[in-house]
Amino acid sequence: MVRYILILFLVLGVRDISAHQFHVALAKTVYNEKDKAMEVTIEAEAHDIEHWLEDKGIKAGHLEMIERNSDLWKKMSKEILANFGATTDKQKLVFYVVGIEVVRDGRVFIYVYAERVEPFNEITWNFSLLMDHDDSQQNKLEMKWKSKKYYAVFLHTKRTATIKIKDK
Amino acid sequence: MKLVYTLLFLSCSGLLWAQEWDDKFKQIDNLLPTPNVYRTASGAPGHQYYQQKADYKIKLELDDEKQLIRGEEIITYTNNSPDPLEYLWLQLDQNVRAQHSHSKLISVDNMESFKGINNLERKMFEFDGGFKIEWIKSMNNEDLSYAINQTMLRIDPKTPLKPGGTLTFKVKWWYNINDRMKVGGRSGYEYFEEEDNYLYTIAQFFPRMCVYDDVNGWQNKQFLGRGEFTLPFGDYEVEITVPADHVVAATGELQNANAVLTSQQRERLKKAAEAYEKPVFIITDKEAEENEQGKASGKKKWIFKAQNVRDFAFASSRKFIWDAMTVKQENKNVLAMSFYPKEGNPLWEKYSTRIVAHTLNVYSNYTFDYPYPVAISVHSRHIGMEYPMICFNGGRPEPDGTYSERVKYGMLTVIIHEVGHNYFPMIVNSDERQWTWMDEGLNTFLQYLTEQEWERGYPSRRGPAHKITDYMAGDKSTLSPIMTNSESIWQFGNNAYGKPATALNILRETIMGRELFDFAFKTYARRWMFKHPTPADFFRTMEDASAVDLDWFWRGWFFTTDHVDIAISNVKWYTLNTENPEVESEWRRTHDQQQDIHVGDIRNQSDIEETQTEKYPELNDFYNLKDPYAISPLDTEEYAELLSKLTPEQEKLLNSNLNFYELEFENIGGLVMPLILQLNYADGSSEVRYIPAEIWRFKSDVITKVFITEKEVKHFRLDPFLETADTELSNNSWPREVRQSRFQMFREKQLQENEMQRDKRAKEMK
Repeated sequence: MVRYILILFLVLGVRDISAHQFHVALAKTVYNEKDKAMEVTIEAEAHDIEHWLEDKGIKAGHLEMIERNSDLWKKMSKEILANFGATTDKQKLVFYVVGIEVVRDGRVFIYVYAERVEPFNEITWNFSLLMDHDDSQQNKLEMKWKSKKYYAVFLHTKRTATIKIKDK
Repeated sequence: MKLVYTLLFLSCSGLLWAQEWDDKFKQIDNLLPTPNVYRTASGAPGHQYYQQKADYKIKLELDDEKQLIRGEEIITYTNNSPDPLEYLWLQLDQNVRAQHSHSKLISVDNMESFKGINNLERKMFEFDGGFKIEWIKSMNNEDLSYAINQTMLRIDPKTPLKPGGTLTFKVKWWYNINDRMKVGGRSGYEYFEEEDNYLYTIAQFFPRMCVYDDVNGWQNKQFLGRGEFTLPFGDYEVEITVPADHVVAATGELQNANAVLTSQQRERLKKAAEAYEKPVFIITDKEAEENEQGKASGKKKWIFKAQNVRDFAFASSRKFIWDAMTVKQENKNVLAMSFYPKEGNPLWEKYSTRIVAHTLNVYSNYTFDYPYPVAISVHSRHIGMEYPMICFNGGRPEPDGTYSERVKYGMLTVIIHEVGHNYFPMIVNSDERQWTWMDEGLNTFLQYLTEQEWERGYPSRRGPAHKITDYMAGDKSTLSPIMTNSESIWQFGNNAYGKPATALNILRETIMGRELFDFAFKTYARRWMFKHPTPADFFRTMEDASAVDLDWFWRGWFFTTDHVDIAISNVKWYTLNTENPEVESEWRRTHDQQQDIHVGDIRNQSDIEETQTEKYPELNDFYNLKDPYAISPLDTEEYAELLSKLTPEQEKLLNSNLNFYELEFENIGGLVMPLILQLNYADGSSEVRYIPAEIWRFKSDVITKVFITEKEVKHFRLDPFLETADTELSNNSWPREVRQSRFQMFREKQLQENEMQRDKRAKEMK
């Protein structure tokens, strides 16, 4: 039996559980052929993201208050991108968070962008956002490639999914 | 030989038909239990319907030093069933937090779940929760035999409890109260470190009787943490001993106001009983702040009584501000009240009691008059949980007293939702352990209606059809039908709250219409008020009271994970041939002129200077020289002869200039729905035509339908008002429309503070 060493990320934070009924994040991704860019909108519950960041020791407070390009923004972006990414059969995509938008009904839209994305035959997505906060988190991704849509689901026990382009 | 061959062919094709025909309108009798004397085919309670009764007398003490509860209860259980009961089952919900609880063991994890010290801490967290049962005795103080299986407790009386009989017994217990912020949970305490104060929201605090009925026998499915509570009705008398400076809010009516309230507070309560427009403070913010400064050494006993309730909960703290107002129902007055710490202000003093009152008014309008004397909203951080007459709600402003719109609407929404639960399931008492949607879905539907009556443009999270589409579209491997047991549901919120609420909204707005729906829904609520309905009772009542066959809708929306994606896949345009040579000749000429011209023909016009037939005219014959649009006398005569054979009506029809559009609709998602088609005419006007869902009854994948119009249509649009939950709008138009993604529409906002903070800063600048 192989013995592995578990390396813990030592951050301090207060566990803040609340009984609620969301536990879902949705990423809508569109490959922009003209700009060779991957445009992504991640939708989640704002308070889920806040609690998750708090869990990681990032005192984000209310997301809509985070000043763009501040240290807090950078920390938040880093955590989001550590849990959202993609690698194609050609390259690893380099994403960055270009904005967040919190709407009145409590949802947050996180806008993520990767440029210089060459057309690909296969893409593997990692979408583990919020999964280390709640085991029941279920994420879903919709990828629009030309006029076709592809879907993938992610669970805390299955954090990556590969999509093969059927018709280029 | 030929005949045999033909018969074989017919036989095979018949087989294929039988295999392939997906009858979306097949009746759902095979999916529902057979009607019987307890529950009728109409969806109403049957003539032998029965339900059990459990009455409680409870004495409690809240230990504010150790954060634990000690209690003793007398339960009187009445067996109204026709069956002798060999044993009785009680629920021990606190045991979900016991050290050997199964709910800790059933979560699937891998090593990803252990990365991070917080994750590890959470997984390894130990809390000595769960009921400590000290004894169970008869009223003669004889020990009763009992056994505990996780969250269930079985009592074995010496002789079976006969039909019509009652059994009275006593239970003594205690348990450690959980820190909600660390352990989570529907009840527990919130600790305010700065002042060393606690705010308790206490529920599931006593061993409670299970439901015994005609559907499940004993509903003793273990409490694993998600599927909530299934409880019989009964009367409660509860004495709660707390520190003398605590204020207690609870299910029921306070019986000893003289002993626990000041004369001033009692006077203010009297004023609140006549305050119909806005709340009156019973304890002001200043008084509450003074009260929370010290800690009283003495104790006070608060006594409450509640009749015909399925549960009891309470809140206790020295931090409470308290306000109240009266809500007039048709036959009685109800006291709407709020209890909140100063941390909830300014939101809570402004909105809580007002929205409680509003919720009672709207829900009562769609169901029945609120039957209880009080409705209470209590504030604690990060919570939303419901009990009879009382609920615990989050929604906390910033420490500086400002709040974002999201926090405000989040608070209003959670209060509406939790107060709304008084109707479903506290009064229409469905089996929560089995079917989450029966209370959460119906309640979320009414919550949406209530939100919209609070404020135009209220940012409702759930209800409108288009808000469920992202959930319903795509990969189905991790979706469940609504008709799934609570513990096995994927995407709990979307499945049990959002989708049923949307389905009911679609029934109301699109399938049945508001009048039929509202009557049927109210019929269901009134039939099952203070009773235990099942899904079949709901499905059947909605049809029985409306004369609308909804089996196809229940089947598709509640028993499958199909989604709505109906596309306009083709459009053909026809006009009538009038047979009038003048009209038809002109039409042919115009039509030919509008045809696209091949590039070679265009270039040949200039590149070929002269063709042979141009150079040598004698090469032309009849065919070269004839005018294809010319009208001969014979044409005119034939037309005149045709007209002479037509009736005036037929002639009028022939000259009507009607347009015929044959539209092909493809059902990609699987769910059948009505076709709501907007026809946008060339003259700029438009109209909407409605085709019932039954158009799909013989063929549910592709159908065609002809639309006849007087005016020329430039553009067709399916589901123009977003009422069918169509998940793919890009195929709803003809010609196709390009839709922008949210990312493309995104414009970065520079505003990084909430609007109240910005306003405050602007005022400071002046």
